[in-house]
Amino acid sequence: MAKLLVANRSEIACRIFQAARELGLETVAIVAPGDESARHVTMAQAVVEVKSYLDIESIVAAAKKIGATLVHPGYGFLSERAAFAEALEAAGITFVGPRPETIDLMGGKVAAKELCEKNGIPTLPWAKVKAGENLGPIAKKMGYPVLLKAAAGGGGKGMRRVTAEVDLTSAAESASAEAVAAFGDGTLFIEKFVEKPRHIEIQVFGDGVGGGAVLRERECSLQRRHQKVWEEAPAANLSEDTRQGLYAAAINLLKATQYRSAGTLEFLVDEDGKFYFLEMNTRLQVEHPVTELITGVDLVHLQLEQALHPEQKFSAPHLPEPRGHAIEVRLYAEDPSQGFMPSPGEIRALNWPLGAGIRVDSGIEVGQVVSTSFDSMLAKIIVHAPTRQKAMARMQVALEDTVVLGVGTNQAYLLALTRDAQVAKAEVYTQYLEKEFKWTSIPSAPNLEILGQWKQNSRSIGSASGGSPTGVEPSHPAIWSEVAKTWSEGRE
Amino acid sequence: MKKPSPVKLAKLSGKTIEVPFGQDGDWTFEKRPGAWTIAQRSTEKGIERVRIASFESRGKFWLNLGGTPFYGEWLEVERGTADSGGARAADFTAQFPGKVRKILVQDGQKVEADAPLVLMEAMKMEFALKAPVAGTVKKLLVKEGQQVQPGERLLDFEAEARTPVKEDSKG
Repeated sequence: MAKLLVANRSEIACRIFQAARELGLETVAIVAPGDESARHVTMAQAVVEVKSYLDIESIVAAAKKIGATLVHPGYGFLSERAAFAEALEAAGITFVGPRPETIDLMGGKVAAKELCEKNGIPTLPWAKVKAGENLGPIAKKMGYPVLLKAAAGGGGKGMRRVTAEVDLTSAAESASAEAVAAFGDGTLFIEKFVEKPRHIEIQVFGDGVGGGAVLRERECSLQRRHQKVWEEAPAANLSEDTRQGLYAAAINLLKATQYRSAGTLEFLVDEDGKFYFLEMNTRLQVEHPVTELITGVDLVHLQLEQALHPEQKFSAPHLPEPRGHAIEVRLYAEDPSQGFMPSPGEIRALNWPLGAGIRVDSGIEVGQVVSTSFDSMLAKIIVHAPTRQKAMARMQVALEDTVVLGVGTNQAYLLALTRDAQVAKAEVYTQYLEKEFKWTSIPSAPNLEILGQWKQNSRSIGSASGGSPTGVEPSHPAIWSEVAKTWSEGRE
Repeated sequence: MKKPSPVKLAKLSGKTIEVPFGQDGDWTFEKRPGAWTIAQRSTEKGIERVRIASFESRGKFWLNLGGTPFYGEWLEVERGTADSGGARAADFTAQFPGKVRKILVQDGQKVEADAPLVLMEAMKMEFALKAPVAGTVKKLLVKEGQQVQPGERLLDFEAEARTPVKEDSKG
């Protein structure tokens, strides 16, 4: 029997386990120290300990020891490390994903841009950063603002926007350090920064011989610190010219790379609808569910089937017609009222929304300790409806029904997004959340009244004494202090 | 400033908020078999019902109240009466386990409000500890690369003047 080890954790490991079980595969989880209470460990039929989710040697050894025949890398961690795919292949284990040389070529990003330019796909002015290089003249030539990016990986880690020469050196240093921590590679590149761009990406699935499927676009313009918060498919307000141009670019690249498995081409689209290739992610994306919902294609099934039966003819539809509209939000253990500080603790109660058109890809369960050692994403809530407007309403209801108690989350922030006029009109860009989006987290007066009475009714914990505390100016919020208390008490 | 009705202070979303408390409320609460409690009252328009899911532990609470999620903690009265400005030692302790990535100041250095003092790394991201007010870094208590635990003091700081503190701690 084929046995699949997922070299990942959290919701994506759980999502891949589901597909694996549906296909009759045995499932194996890996667990790093400190993550023993995580949901993916509960879900799998077998578990192997590894030193870390980034440790190639330890994971390959684990896969061999347990007799895994396939390894799916998920996203992040080792998913775009060619050395990992090579090490698995050398051990006779199938890597579920593109060929190592494709990961090398496209995952390196610099080479990917060169390849795009050769194939007539527009890119932004960019340059590779040599260690210790004076970036001043390069940045000046491109014109500020410029963006420093990790050559490996994505997700906003190791990325800095720089508006003036004075910040260039320190930004490069900290971006590089963050890239080392996240991907084990501190190489950076610098590129021109487009004002008010939208982030549009194309999901592809390659047959490995130059063809495959273009599974339409996603829009992920709502981001914070280059980390996506809200994703949807299809993109609203995208001209048909731009859309067809993007699809043509995707078909070109599938052919040029003889691409195998799932991949995503990320583009910036400027206010005139012109697009620029950013990078290709040679892996499954966090936001793949919105594509699955509108195209009816199960991307993980497709990946696993292709890996299991490479001899079979590729059968996915080339360019499926979209059905309805899908939106995904990412629920993070971050406190939006405290500058999005990590808000760890123990999950004490959970209630996921149910009902028509709602999908939840969760990485947590009750009793799980959410620590700061790992990414703070807890789950994704995804909705599918006939129109975008209905999908927005459905997302609002789904978020209202979501209960995650014991850690601070960005749930209220996400709810505010479902009620935002600009989001409703789809008139957003990649800095919209940080530059314009306003929201309040103060409960309404009626809610406060219920809160007070609820407190009175619940078993009281040391009620206030000493008379009225009115007339007291609220003390300033100590930077970070809320997080600390949550952490230290949440563990008990 | 004085208000006649009793309140309980809660810290919600980083802000200190007065929650009406100890009055004759008209809400009744019914615990349902699952996660929810139903709050209910009669009004002129009929029965009003609000669904609540809650968890409370050691003065901290997490709720979904009628579809609105919030979390916070009940404050003792005395705690709200503390300093109304300036900087407190508590502001300079690590608030989550992490690594000191970079120290940006030296012992004795004067800094402006909002000046980044120490960069911390956790969850593969970086966070800056900023000076809440203008002042002097008296003494650094940690080194670059050091792992720190919550509650561990990073530095001693002396505020220059009791100026109002910026609420926005977004880094």
